[in-house]
Amino acid sequence: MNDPALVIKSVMMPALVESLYMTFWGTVFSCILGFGLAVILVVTAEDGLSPHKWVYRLLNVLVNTLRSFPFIILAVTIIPITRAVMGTSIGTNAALFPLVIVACPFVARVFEGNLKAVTPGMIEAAKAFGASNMQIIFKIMLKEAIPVMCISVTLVVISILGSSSMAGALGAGGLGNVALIYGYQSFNDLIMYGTVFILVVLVQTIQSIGNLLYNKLK
Amino acid sequence: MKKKLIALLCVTAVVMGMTACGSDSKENKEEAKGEEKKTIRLAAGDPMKEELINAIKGDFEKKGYKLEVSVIEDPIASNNAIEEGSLEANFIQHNAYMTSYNEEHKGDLVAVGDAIYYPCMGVYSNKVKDMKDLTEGMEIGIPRDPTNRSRALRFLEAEGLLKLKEGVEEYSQLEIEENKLNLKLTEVDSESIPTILDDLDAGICYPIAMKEAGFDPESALAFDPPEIGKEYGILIAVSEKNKDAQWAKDLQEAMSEEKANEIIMEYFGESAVHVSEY
Repeated sequence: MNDPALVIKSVMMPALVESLYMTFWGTVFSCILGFGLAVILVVTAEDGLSPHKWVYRLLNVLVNTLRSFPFIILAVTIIPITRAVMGTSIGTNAALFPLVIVACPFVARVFEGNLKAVTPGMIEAAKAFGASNMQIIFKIMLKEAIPVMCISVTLVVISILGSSSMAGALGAGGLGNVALIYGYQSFNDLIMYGTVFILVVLVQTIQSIGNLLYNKLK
Repeated sequence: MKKKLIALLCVTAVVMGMTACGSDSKENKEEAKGEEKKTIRLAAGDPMKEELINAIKGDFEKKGYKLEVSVIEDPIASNNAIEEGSLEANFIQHNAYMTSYNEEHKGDLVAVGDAIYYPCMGVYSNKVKDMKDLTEGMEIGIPRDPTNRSRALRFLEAEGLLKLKEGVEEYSQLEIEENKLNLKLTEVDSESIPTILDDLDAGICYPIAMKEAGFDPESALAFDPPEIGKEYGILIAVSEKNKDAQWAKDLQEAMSEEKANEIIMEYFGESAVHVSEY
């Protein structure tokens, strides 16, 4: 069994950095892309600003299909695509590709919900004032939805942190990998539960920041 | 009133379910205490091992037993199942792993006899043709699970590419003292190594993984030497108390038949596996 102090310094700390790296960039990219998807879904819906039945249906199917994939299954299925896009299929950067693809649909759905929850009355009033669709989307809907979107982003961050725990299978490292290999498979309860503890602290912190932002912005 | 009735129904259902589960395992325990064990539950570690067992199942059952085969991929769960009495035997691990399991979980698992077969570990590559072509800074994929990672590191040491700390039972990258070519050792799931060989300069894994990914298991640049390989033979593990049971001996015999050896050699290729003691 490995000496715990050495494992903490040489394995857990780098793994923590890897997990944070994957979670941060995974969140950034999936939120940008997911927001775009959400806007299209909201606008082209039947009750949206610019209904387009087929665009909406197609996008819906795409989002649902991608959401059905567990992260690790998607990651191994698209290895050739990841390799073509990222240059390699292993490592922390390569893992971002399937992470973002899996998270995007989830982001799209939560943001869609947030945007749709904006009071219809406000949108009607804006239309009456002659606002363009773009103005309505960004100045009314987005502005009103930002506080709840902070809560959504909190959900997304925690979800991506969870997915990234499986990324170790393809050489991306991360805390999940440490818990599995150095904890469970090495029969070392201290490391296994220690890693879980770090993750609990991380999630608590992220959730608290999200709540704080919500309260400040609403 | 309606809500209370539904709640009562749910509680009753749960209690009945739990009693049913309880009596089920009690039945198994009673059978387990019996002298003449007729039904043998054997868990294979993967579908290939399951196939092998099924091939000799007929011969084993001719001796008056019933063999129930299942696949349990997690060796810890599989070993725990033997310890708690849900399984009689498993066919998944080598001696090194079983010993470390016993140490950490205060288990009493023993091998029935010699290992059934000894798979070699190979260095495979889509980029280099010879071990000599491995140069400075190349990236080698190694298994991330502790026992096989240790074997891969010892393999690299035997090839003269690494120097490891002495006196350690199970090696991880923390015990590397010297890395002559500054090789980057990337730890991944050993089953994935064949699929990602294009992203590595070379990978170290088992022939079975290559075979299942559709590649030639015998196409290794090198296999690890017998001094290392002999510790990693896959064996049939049982609880200590069943070590000398007649069924255990019969099972070992059936798995060691010529028919079984032929299947193994055909599956892996003759250079990638040994079927008898080194």
